[in-house]
Amino acid sequence: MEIKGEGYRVTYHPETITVSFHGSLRLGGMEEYAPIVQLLDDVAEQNPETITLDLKELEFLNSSGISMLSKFVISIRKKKNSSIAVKGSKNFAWQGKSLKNLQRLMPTLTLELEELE
Amino acid sequence: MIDKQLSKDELIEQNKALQKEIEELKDEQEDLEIMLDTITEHSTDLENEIYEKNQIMLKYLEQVKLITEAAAAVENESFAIDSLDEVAAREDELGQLARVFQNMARQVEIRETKLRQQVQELKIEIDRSKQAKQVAEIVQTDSFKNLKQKLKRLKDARKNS
Repeated sequence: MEIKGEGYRVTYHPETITVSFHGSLRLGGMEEYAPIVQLLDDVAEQNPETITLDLKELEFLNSSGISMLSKFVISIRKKKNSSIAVKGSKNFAWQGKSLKNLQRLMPTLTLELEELE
Repeated sequence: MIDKQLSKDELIEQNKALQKEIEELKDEQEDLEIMLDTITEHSTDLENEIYEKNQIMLKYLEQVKLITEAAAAVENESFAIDSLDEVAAREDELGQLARVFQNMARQVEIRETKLRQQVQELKIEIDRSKQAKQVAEIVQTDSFKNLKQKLKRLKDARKNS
Protein backbone atom coordinates (compact mmCIF):
# COMPACT_ATOMS: atom_id res chain seq x y z
CA MET A 1 0.00 0.00 0.00
CA GLU A 2 1.41 3.34 -0.94
CA ILE A 3 0.21 6.92 -1.18
CA LYS A 4 2.28 9.19 -3.34
CA GLY A 5 2.05 12.90 -3.92
CA GLU A 6 4.19 15.86 -4.83
CA GLY A 7 7.32 15.60 -2.72
CA TYR A 8 6.13 12.85 -0.39
CA ARG A 9 5.47 9.14 -0.15
CA VAL A 10 3.69 7.12 2.56
CA THR A 11 4.26 3.38 2.34
CA TYR A 12 2.93 0.45 4.35
CA HIS A 13 5.23 -2.54 4.80
CA PRO A 14 2.99 -5.44 6.00
CA GLU A 15 5.92 -7.73 6.86
CA THR A 16 7.10 -5.37 9.60
CA ILE A 17 3.79 -3.53 10.17
CA THR A 18 5.58 -0.29 9.47
CA VAL A 19 4.22 2.83 7.87
CA SER A 20 7.10 4.87 6.51
CA PHE A 21 6.92 8.53 5.56
CA HIS A 22 9.27 10.15 3.07
CA GLY A 23 9.83 13.70 1.90
CA SER A 24 7.84 16.80 2.78
CA LEU A 25 4.23 16.42 3.90
CA ARG A 26 2.56 19.78 3.52
CA LEU A 27 -0.98 18.97 2.49
CA GLY A 28 -3.59 21.69 2.90
CA GLY A 29 -5.76 20.63 5.82
CA MET A 30 -7.30 17.49 7.29
CA GLU A 31 -9.37 16.76 4.18
CA GLU A 32 -6.26 16.29 2.10
CA TYR A 33 -4.77 14.10 4.80
CA ALA A 34 -7.81 11.79 4.70
CA PRO A 35 -6.22 9.12 2.45
CA ILE A 36 -3.24 8.86 4.82
CA VAL A 37 -5.59 8.70 7.83
CA GLN A 38 -7.44 5.90 6.03
CA LEU A 39 -4.20 3.99 5.46
CA LEU A 40 -3.28 4.31 9.15
CA ASP A 41 -6.78 3.26 10.25
CA ASP A 42 -6.64 0.22 7.98
CA VAL A 43 -3.40 -0.84 9.63
CA ALA A 44 -4.86 -0.25 13.10
CA GLU A 45 -7.93 -2.34 12.27
CA GLN A 46 -5.80 -5.45 12.03
CA ASN A 47 -5.01 -4.97 15.73
CA PRO A 48 -1.28 -5.66 15.40
CA GLU A 49 0.84 -5.86 18.54
CA THR A 50 2.98 -2.93 17.47
CA ILE A 51 2.54 -0.39 14.71
CA THR A 52 5.80 1.25 13.68
CA LEU A 53 5.80 4.76 12.26
CA ASP A 54 9.06 5.38 10.45
CA LEU A 55 9.58 9.12 10.09
CA LYS A 56 13.38 9.04 9.63
CA GLU A 57 13.08 10.31 6.06
CA LEU A 58 10.31 12.79 6.75
CA GLU A 59 12.00 16.11 6.23
CA PHE A 60 8.99 18.34 6.81
CA LEU A 61 5.53 17.93 8.33
CA ASN A 62 3.08 20.82 8.60
CA SER A 63 0.65 21.50 11.45
CA SER A 64 -2.20 19.49 9.90
CA GLY A 65 0.23 16.61 9.62
CA ILE A 66 1.23 16.67 13.28
CA SER A 67 -2.46 16.95 14.14
CA MET A 68 -3.15 13.82 12.08
CA LEU A 69 -0.40 11.89 13.89
CA SER A 70 -1.64 13.11 17.30
CA LYS A 71 -5.17 11.96 16.57
CA PHE A 72 -3.94 8.59 15.35
CA VAL A 73 -1.92 8.10 18.53
CA ILE A 74 -4.96 8.95 20.68
CA SER A 75 -7.16 6.54 18.74
CA ILE A 76 -4.67 3.68 19.20
CA ARG A 77 -4.34 4.43 22.90
CA LYS A 78 -8.12 4.29 23.25
CA LYS A 79 -8.40 0.98 21.39
CA LYS A 80 -5.89 -0.56 23.81
CA ASN A 81 -5.01 -3.35 21.36
CA SER A 82 -1.75 -2.09 19.87
CA SER A 83 1.31 -0.16 20.87
CA ILE A 84 3.16 2.34 18.72
CA ALA A 85 6.86 2.64 17.98
CA VAL A 86 8.02 5.88 16.38
CA LYS A 87 11.35 6.11 14.57
CA GLY A 88 12.67 9.58 13.92
CA SER A 89 15.88 11.37 13.12
CA LYS A 90 17.77 14.23 14.75
CA ASN A 91 18.61 15.44 11.24
CA PHE A 92 15.29 17.25 11.20
CA ALA A 93 14.99 19.75 14.05
CA TRP A 94 11.19 19.59 14.33
CA GLN A 95 11.16 15.89 15.13
CA GLY A 96 12.81 16.08 18.56
CA LYS A 97 10.16 18.24 20.21
CA SER A 98 7.03 17.30 18.29
CA LEU A 99 7.56 13.54 18.43
CA LYS A 100 8.24 13.70 22.15
CA ASN A 101 4.83 15.31 22.54
CA LEU A 102 3.27 12.20 21.00
CA GLN A 103 4.61 10.33 24.02
CA ARG A 104 2.62 12.65 26.25
CA LEU A 105 -0.54 11.50 24.45
CA MET A 106 0.42 7.86 24.82
CA PRO A 107 3.01 7.19 27.53
CA THR A 108 3.67 3.63 26.28
CA LEU A 109 4.71 4.91 22.86
CA THR A 110 8.38 4.20 22.22
CA LEU A 111 10.42 6.86 20.48
CA GLU A 112 13.74 6.21 18.83
CA LEU A 113 15.65 9.18 17.41
CA GLU A 114 18.51 8.41 15.10
CA GLU A 115 21.66 10.44 15.77
CA LEU A 116 22.86 13.14 13.39
CA GLU A 117 24.54 11.95 10.24
CA MET B 1 -38.43 17.42 35.62
CA ILE B 2 -38.13 13.73 36.38
CA ASP B 3 -41.49 12.02 35.91
CA LYS B 4 -41.10 9.45 38.63
CA GLN B 5 -39.09 9.31 41.78
CA LEU B 6 -35.86 7.37 41.21
CA SER B 7 -35.02 4.58 43.55
CA LYS B 8 -31.80 4.74 45.55
CA ASP B 9 -30.17 2.10 43.33
CA GLU B 10 -31.13 3.97 40.20
CA LEU B 11 -29.61 7.13 41.62
CA ILE B 12 -26.39 5.33 42.45
CA GLU B 13 -26.33 3.90 38.92
CA GLN B 14 -26.90 7.32 37.39
CA ASN B 15 -24.26 8.83 39.61
CA LYS B 16 -21.77 6.19 38.46
CA ALA B 17 -22.62 6.87 34.83
CA LEU B 18 -22.13 10.59 35.35
CA GLN B 19 -18.84 10.01 37.15
CA LYS B 20 -17.67 7.89 34.22
CA GLU B 21 -18.70 10.57 31.76
CA ILE B 22 -16.85 13.21 33.76
CA GLU B 23 -13.72 11.02 33.75
CA GLU B 24 -13.98 10.54 30.01
CA LEU B 25 -14.48 14.25 29.42
CA LYS B 26 -11.49 15.01 31.63
CA ASP B 27 -9.36 12.57 29.65
CA GLU B 28 -10.57 14.07 26.43
CA GLN B 29 -9.83 17.56 27.66
CA GLU B 30 -6.34 16.51 28.65
CA ASP B 31 -5.79 14.99 25.21
CA LEU B 32 -7.00 18.15 23.53
CA GLU B 33 -4.74 20.30 25.69
CA ILE B 34 -1.73 18.15 24.83
CA MET B 35 -2.71 18.27 21.16
CA LEU B 36 -3.03 22.03 21.32
CA ASP B 37 0.44 22.25 22.88
CA THR B 38 1.87 19.86 20.32
CA ILE B 39 0.43 21.65 17.32
CA THR B 40 1.27 25.11 18.68
CA GLU B 41 4.86 24.15 19.45
CA HIS B 42 5.19 22.43 16.10
CA SER B 43 3.83 25.35 14.10
CA THR B 44 5.86 27.87 16.13
CA ASP B 45 9.04 25.94 15.39
CA LEU B 46 8.13 25.83 11.71
CA GLU B 47 7.29 29.54 11.63
CA ASN B 48 10.57 30.42 13.30
CA GLU B 49 12.50 28.19 10.95
CA ILE B 50 10.75 29.74 7.95
CA TYR B 51 11.43 33.22 9.31
CA GLU B 52 15.13 32.49 9.82
CA LYS B 53 15.43 30.97 6.37
CA ASN B 54 13.67 33.99 4.93
CA GLN B 55 16.14 36.32 6.68
CA ILE B 56 19.04 34.31 5.28
CA MET B 57 17.53 34.51 1.79
CA LEU B 58 16.97 38.26 2.08
CA LYS B 59 20.62 38.74 3.08
CA TYR B 60 21.67 36.57 0.18
CA LEU B 61 19.61 38.57 -2.31
CA GLU B 62 21.00 41.80 -0.88
CA GLN B 63 24.54 40.55 -1.46
CA VAL B 64 23.72 39.35 -4.96
CA LYS B 65 22.60 42.92 -5.58
CA LEU B 66 25.99 44.19 -4.32
CA ILE B 67 27.72 42.03 -6.92
CA THR B 68 25.44 43.25 -9.71
CA GLU B 69 26.12 46.81 -8.61
CA ALA B 70 29.85 46.05 -8.62
CA ALA B 71 29.56 44.83 -12.22
CA ALA B 72 27.83 48.08 -13.18
CA ALA B 73 30.52 50.07 -11.32
CA VAL B 74 33.25 48.28 -13.28
CA GLU B 75 31.53 49.35 -16.50
CA ASN B 76 31.56 53.01 -15.52
CA GLU B 77 35.01 52.75 -13.89
CA SER B 78 33.84 53.60 -10.37
CA PHE B 79 34.34 50.15 -8.84
CA ALA B 80 35.89 50.08 -5.36
CA ILE B 81 37.30 46.62 -4.59
CA ASP B 82 36.49 46.83 -0.87
CA SER B 83 32.78 47.32 -1.66
CA LEU B 84 32.67 43.51 -1.98
CA ASP B 85 34.64 42.67 1.20
CA GLU B 86 31.55 41.56 3.14
CA VAL B 87 30.30 39.31 0.34
CA ALA B 88 33.81 37.91 -0.20
CA ALA B 89 33.88 36.83 3.46
CA ARG B 90 31.07 34.32 2.81
CA GLU B 91 32.16 30.70 2.61
CA ASP B 92 29.69 29.71 -0.10
CA GLU B 93 29.59 30.04 -3.88
CA LEU B 94 28.48 33.66 -3.69
CA GLY B 95 31.55 34.46 -1.56
CA GLN B 96 33.73 32.72 -4.12
CA LEU B 97 32.14 34.72 -6.91
CA ALA B 98 32.91 37.96 -5.02
CA ARG B 99 36.53 36.90 -4.40
CA VAL B 100 37.05 36.00 -8.06
CA PHE B 101 35.53 39.35 -9.00
CA GLN B 102 37.86 41.21 -6.61
CA ASN B 103 40.92 39.33 -7.90
CA MET B 104 40.00 40.08 -11.49
CA ALA B 105 39.55 43.74 -10.66
CA ARG B 106 42.97 43.80 -8.93
CA GLN B 107 44.63 42.20 -11.94
CA VAL B 108 42.96 44.63 -14.31
CA GLU B 109 44.20 47.47 -12.12
CA ILE B 110 47.80 46.18 -12.13
CA ARG B 111 47.72 45.65 -15.89
CA GLU B 112 46.32 49.11 -16.45
CA THR B 113 49.06 50.72 -14.33
CA LYS B 114 51.68 48.78 -16.27
CA LEU B 115 50.18 49.80 -19.62
CA ARG B 116 50.08 53.45 -18.56
CA GLN B 117 53.76 53.23 -17.60
CA GLN B 118 54.61 51.65 -20.95
CA VAL B 119 52.73 54.36 -22.80
CA GLN B 120 54.64 56.99 -20.83
CA GLU B 121 57.98 55.34 -21.67
CA LEU B 122 57.06 55.04 -25.33
CA LYS B 123 56.08 58.72 -25.44
CA ILE B 124 59.45 59.72 -24.00
CA GLU B 125 61.23 57.53 -26.56
CA ILE B 126 59.24 59.03 -29.40
CA ASP B 127 60.08 62.55 -28.20
CA ARG B 128 63.77 61.68 -28.10
CA SER B 129 63.86 60.26 -31.63
CA LYS B 130 61.87 63.23 -32.88
CA GLN B 131 64.45 65.56 -31.34
CA ALA B 132 67.32 63.60 -32.91
CA LYS B 133 65.63 63.73 -36.29
CA GLN B 134 65.08 67.46 -36.01
CA VAL B 135 68.74 67.98 -35.05
CA ALA B 136 69.86 65.88 -38.00
CA GLU B 137 67.62 67.88 -40.30
CA ILE B 138 69.01 71.16 -39.03
CA VAL B 139 72.61 69.91 -39.39
CA GLN B 140 71.92 68.92 -42.99
CA THR B 141 70.67 72.37 -44.08
CA ASP B 142 72.87 74.67 -46.26
CA SER B 143 72.58 77.62 -43.93
CA PHE B 144 73.83 75.47 -41.04
CA LYS B 145 76.74 74.23 -43.19
CA ASN B 146 77.60 77.84 -44.14
CA LEU B 147 77.46 78.85 -40.52
CA LYS B 148 79.80 75.99 -39.61
CA GLN B 149 82.31 77.05 -42.32
CA LYS B 150 82.15 80.67 -41.19
CA LEU B 151 82.88 79.61 -37.65
CA LYS B 152 85.82 77.53 -38.81
CA ARG B 153 87.22 80.48 -40.78
CA LEU B 154 86.87 82.79 -37.81
CA LYS B 155 88.67 80.30 -35.59
CA ASP B 156 91.52 79.91 -38.17
CA ALA B 157 91.87 83.72 -38.52
CA ARG B 158 92.16 84.09 -34.75
CA LYS B 159 94.86 81.37 -34.64
CA ASN B 160 96.92 83.11 -37.39
CA SER B 161 96.68 86.58 -35.93
